Amino acid sequence: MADKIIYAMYDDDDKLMDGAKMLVSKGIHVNEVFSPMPIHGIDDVIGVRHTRLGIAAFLYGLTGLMLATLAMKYFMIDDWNMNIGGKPSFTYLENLPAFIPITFEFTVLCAAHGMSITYLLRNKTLPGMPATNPDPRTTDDRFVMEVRASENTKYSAEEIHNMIQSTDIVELDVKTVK
Amino acid sequence: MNFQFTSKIKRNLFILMAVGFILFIIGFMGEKNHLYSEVVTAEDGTESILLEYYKELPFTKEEFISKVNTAAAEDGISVSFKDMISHDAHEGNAEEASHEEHEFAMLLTPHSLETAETHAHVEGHEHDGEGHGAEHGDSLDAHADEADAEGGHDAHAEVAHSPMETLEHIIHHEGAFADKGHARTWSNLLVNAFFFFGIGLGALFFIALQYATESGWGVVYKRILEGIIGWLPVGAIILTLIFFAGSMQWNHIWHWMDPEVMNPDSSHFDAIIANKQPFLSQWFFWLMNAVYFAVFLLFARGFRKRSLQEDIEGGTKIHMKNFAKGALFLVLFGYLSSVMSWHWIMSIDTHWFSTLFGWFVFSGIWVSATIFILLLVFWLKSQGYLEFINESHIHDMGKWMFAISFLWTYLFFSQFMLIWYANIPEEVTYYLDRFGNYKWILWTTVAVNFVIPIVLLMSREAKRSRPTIMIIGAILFVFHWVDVFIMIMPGSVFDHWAIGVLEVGMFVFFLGLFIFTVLRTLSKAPLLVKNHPYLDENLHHHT
Repeated sequence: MADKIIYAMYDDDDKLMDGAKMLVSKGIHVNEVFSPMPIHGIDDVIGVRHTRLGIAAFLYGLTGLMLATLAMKYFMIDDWNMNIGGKPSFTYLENLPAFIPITFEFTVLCAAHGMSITYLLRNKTLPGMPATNPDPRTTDDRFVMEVRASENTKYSAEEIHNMIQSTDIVELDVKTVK
Repeated sequence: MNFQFTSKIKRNLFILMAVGFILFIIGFMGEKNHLYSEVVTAEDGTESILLEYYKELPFTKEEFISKVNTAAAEDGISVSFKDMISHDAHEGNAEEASHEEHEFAMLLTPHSLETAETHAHVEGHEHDGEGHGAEHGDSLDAHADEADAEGGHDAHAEVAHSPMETLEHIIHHEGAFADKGHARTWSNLLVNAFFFFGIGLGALFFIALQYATESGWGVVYKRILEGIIGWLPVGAIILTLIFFAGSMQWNHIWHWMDPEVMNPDSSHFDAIIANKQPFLSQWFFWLMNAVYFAVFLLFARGFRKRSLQEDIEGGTKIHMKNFAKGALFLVLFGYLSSVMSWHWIMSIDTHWFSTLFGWFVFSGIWVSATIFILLLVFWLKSQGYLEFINESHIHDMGKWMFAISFLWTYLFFSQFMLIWYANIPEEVTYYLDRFGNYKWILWTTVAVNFVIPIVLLMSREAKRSRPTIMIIGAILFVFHWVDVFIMIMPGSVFDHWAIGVLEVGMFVFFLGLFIFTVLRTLSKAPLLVKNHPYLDENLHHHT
């Protein structure tokens, strides 16, 4: 399906923010924003759904907690219980304080790694993957807003083009995909 | 816009204080003291109760023994008594002999009438007074054994109460007498004075932290923090009075303040405490108190003065001065807050020591301050003030409340685990005292202060929601008060603690006085600062 993608480039995050606010107020859906740093509040303006990474992190943490508990129960209690510092080593509960630091560390390890890998996978930005940003300068000092004509059937591509041009842009690029 | 401290709010606060004061007086009239009792287990597994009392008692030893025997016979048990005072130390004149009648140290062993023969009389004098130290369970594991032994005992007995429980009940009743020293009142004064002083100190630390890091997010909170800091002079006066009373021996919260403890010729000489004399001495205590209060109050005054000055003058000169003073304060506070907690709180359990204790106290201070800031902000917003504090500001403060709750749990657990693992007698005494009679309240506090924030405050929405923060904040606020309670009580009133009208009344009274002082300070300056370099950035704060 033929579609027109309009890339509007700004040299300041506040200018992009104002532009996005203006477009959204006219009912235009902004598909994506590319930025070298987080722009606070832009997700609310362009209506990005709230990230579920936090939920994923919680689940990874829970996994780590359970893995650590099961492993230590097996190593230290069931398989070969060792007497360390004269502490009772026959039940997990009696020895619980000794296991908490490891449980905590392993929870953090699993949550952090799981979260990082999920983030990279979900954004398709694992090392070596092809870049998805429209312009390499968005990793430096430029801010790009992406608007798709197919998502804004209320206006013609020309009207959208004109509206974007009225914001404080530095460059405008239109790409046609087949 | 200034906060209007209207007469209606003042009236409500006075009512709150009056209710607290009346409750306190009711509790004060009924304040009872008890003989100091401790459960000890002999090598053969028999459990006994060690009773000790060295001050003036309203009854003699013989009267007490006959009262216990009468009550024991009614409840179907018999009790054997064993004198634990070394008589070699008390040979001599009649005056000492009469004094001795008021000095208790004896071992009471309960027997159920079905299994054991009755022998209710005072036994053997050969027992050395120093000997009983070794009989206390000196290890944390000992308590598990004790619990097992008790459980086993219950299984054999037909009655609902074991002889031990019955005896404990009798001692609680017969050993009670009107408390002339008012240990509970004094200890509670210290709990409240320290808890609320801590909130003021937490706010002072927080404002210095924001100056030193040149934070932009918290500028709208500045006047709130300054209002809370307004309590510091009042709190310092109350604390000084309590310390002074301790120095004058009007209260006995700090055992080491008794000069007899350091005197090698006295029968109350304690070598462990005497070895800490340079730190635990009156002159050093008061010298350091002067330093603590001087540093805290002078910095508090300076920050406030410059904050008001900045409103008029503007520019960045004051900002840079605050930056330098804030950094300096953090360095001083790092040392002083630790040493302060050792002097004021840790020395109550005089034999015990823990380097980490200062940080643990500090984390409690900080989280209490954060919670109070949030509660105060929500209340002020409900009164129509602080329209400039938006959800993002609340969210950021909520993050602090969430994060420091774990700092608190982390430090609690670090301290506990190291002591549990090493199992050294000097260190475990602290937790033995707390596991003995404070077990449920201690673990409830740890559970509440850890589990509630981690479960209910984790999500972004919870940290922004007014009802969630208000409810959780109120619960955590009370339980951080209980945390201070558990730090102080086991070393000053031992196992005779309670949370009754006296405690509730005094807390309510202090809360009223605290809020009154904070609101009064708050009403003296506009709620929003002017001319702060980050003010504009902060008003558009968005996370």
